[in-house]
Amino acid sequence: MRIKALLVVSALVLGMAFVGCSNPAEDAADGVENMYQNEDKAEDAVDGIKEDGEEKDAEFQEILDSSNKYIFEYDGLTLAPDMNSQEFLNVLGEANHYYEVKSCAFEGLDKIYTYSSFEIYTYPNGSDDLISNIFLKDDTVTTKEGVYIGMSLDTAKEKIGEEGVLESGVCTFDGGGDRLRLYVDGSNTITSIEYQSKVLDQE
Amino acid sequence: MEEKETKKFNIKLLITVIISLVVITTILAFLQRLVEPKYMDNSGEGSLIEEYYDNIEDHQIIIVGDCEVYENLVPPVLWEDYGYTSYIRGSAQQLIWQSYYLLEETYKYENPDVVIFNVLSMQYNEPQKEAYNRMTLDGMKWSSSKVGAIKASMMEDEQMIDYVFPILRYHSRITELKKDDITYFFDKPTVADNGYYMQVGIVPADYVPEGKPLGDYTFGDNAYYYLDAIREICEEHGSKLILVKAPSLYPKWHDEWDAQMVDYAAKYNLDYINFLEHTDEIGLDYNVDTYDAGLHLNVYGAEKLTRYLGEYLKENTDLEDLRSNEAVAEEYNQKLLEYRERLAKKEEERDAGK
Repeated sequence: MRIKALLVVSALVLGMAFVGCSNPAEDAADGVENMYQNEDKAEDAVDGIKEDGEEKDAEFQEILDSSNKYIFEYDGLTLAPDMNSQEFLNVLGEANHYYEVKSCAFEGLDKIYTYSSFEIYTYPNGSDDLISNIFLKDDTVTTKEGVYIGMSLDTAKEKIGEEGVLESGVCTFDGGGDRLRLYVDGSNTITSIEYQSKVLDQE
Repeated sequence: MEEKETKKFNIKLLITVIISLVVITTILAFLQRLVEPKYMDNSGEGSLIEEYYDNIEDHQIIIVGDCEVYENLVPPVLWEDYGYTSYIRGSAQQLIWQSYYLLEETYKYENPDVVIFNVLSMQYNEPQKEAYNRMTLDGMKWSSSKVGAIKASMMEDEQMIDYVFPILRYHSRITELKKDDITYFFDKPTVADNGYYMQVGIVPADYVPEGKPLGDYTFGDNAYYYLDAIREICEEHGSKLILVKAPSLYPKWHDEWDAQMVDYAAKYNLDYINFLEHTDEIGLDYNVDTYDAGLHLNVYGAEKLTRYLGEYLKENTDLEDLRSNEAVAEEYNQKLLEYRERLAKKEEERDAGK
């Protein structure tokens, strides 16, 4: 009898290694091999190895669904983080330059569209590409609040109406699902302006 | 009589326990091997670290770093043109603490005269991504170096136990097994030539973005801690440490970063070569020498860069040309032959559109 019990326990121990498959948290943490294969940064962000994958999924969706506080308007078009690239490509047309950035071992992670005064970075989300960052490159364009490169940080804060958080040369204004980041030099003059999605924080 | 029966039963029980344990362990080991990624499909980089253990010997040169070493430098060419034996212990997005521990482990097997470290990973001060960690750490043999590398690399939500028993991490793959998992269950062909991962594609670098700006260009304390550790372990073993920055056009190697490496090299009397400043001397043509628009070199660019490095080593080190050493020559000429065969095969596949 004891021997039979031992065999049953052995079978249970063996089975336990795979019983975990039904654990939702572990289901969410898809096989790492998948991450190597699917080359999909957004999915990686969602499937990221976290305690609770379903919660992660919800967080990701929440960010995508949230309205953007900080938006960039250009030529009648509103550009914002997490917007589908097709929307701006349809209006702005082909970029002056296009670059696809692969990283070690992964492919097709980021796409960079360079226009004359700004640069748009995208990340893949399924078959779509969504905006991860927008960088303003010169003072011919401004943010919706009227902030431009060359302006003092103090003036920018007044225009935005918030203090922001200044750390390591970047003043960040939190917009919920997005951020506006002002890069400043030693004299607190703005040298670069970035709109940034929070989706990729979850990697 | 009863005592004899009890003793007999206990022996039977003991045998059953032992057999059960052996069977369970064997089955778990089998399953673990089955579900572990084989890194043969489009992610051969995951095989690089483990391939070293089939190539342990006294290399004159050991190279550590990320894709900027394993796709840009070609050990068989260093042999062919300069008679130097070398091995690249590179892996995808290899972080500097991983380079240190790989080097520490390497010193347990051999004592290279020259160690080359690519400094791009100085930009990272903390762990980045589990998938990349796995591609470096899973391939390491168990040792105190591997334990150190795992501890230094783990993301917040990673656990040591998952590295000790990979089946705990990969078990969900049991429902998504691929042909490769069976084909390469016991053995798999080498994907690299002494750590060089060959690419034969040609994608011109017509345009390279400026790159994202940073608020603070200062390398982090943790990165410097491990750079110091690399320097010190090289000193302890009498190896000449050479810092290099590969001529990859993207991600951008900022001037501020370069200045920090120049200062560090000057402070500790190290050689530092930023190959980006020597692209003309190297003869690189980014219209034909890169397979991904300037991020990495293809084999044609990598051979040019390797010859430039070989020339530098010839002029700045006391490395011996071993081509007249029969035993070494026999082995390395064979490696060179295999390298040329791999090149011919990959070019054939490329031309056939595979």
